[in-house]
Amino acid sequence: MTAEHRRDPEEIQRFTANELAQHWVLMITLTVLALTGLALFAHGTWIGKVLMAIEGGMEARGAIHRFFAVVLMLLTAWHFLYVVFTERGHRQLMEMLPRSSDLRGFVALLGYYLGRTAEPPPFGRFTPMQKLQYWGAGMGSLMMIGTGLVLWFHTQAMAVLPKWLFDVTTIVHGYEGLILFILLFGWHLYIVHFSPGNFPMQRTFLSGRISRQRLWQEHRLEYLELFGDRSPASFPEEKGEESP
Amino acid sequence: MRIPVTALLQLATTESSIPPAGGPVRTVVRIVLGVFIAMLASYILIEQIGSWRRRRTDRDR
Repeated sequence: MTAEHRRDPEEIQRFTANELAQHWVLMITLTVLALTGLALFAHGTWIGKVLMAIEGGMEARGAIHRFFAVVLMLLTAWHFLYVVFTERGHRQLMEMLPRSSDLRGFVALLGYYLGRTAEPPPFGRFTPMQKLQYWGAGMGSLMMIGTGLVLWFHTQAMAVLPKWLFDVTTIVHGYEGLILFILLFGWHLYIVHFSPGNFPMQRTFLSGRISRQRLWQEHRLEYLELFGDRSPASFPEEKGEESP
Repeated sequence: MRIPVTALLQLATTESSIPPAGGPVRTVVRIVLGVFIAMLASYILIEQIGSWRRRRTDRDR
């Protein structure tokens, strides 16, 4: 057990301040990028028109979108350096790698939801759904940065790229943005706010902490690694906290 | 090699000379998007139904 796990006897520090900060920057950045992008993507609809008006018109919208695109690039560099050059970050990345057991776990989880098993399958530090969100947002962000740069520097890009590739880039940027928007604002927000037992919200993104009970329920393998066979009920009574 | 930027830009922006590309791409992307939304919706539905059934079973017990 590490020092951070001993800091509060009732809760486990699951994420560091650095990791929480990355999440906050990503949350704000993608929200602004989605709203400013949607204004252009859906410019013919009432939602697009309202967003465009709120964002100060076409020029201001573009400036805001590009400013936060740069923030996303800096965040990507920050995250890359974190997972490659720090021991903890690298360990997190290794835990996040998809494995064949994730697919089996996901199928078993669906079986649990459908009433075929009495207990949910045991997951490690990250559940298959968390991995899917991480890699979906990560790969999606990289694709958005790449296609976004082509659209931003379109004059230079069109000097070297064929017209059809430029058209494809435009389509991919718009729809990939929409997929990312649905992934984060639909599924991710559903999981942390509305999935069973999580309403009104999980608080780990605020404190980085999780209760033993919750860890035992949702990340059983990680719990067993930290506390062995000792059940959460055998510890002194604790406050309810949430998981990521 | 010197890139004929002006000529390329003119070619690329002349709609009559080059039809807009991306029609099939747009279709494929829309299908991917539809499948993605259907999968997420199914997952949410299964989770909610499972949760509701467990709550009902626990209440009846």
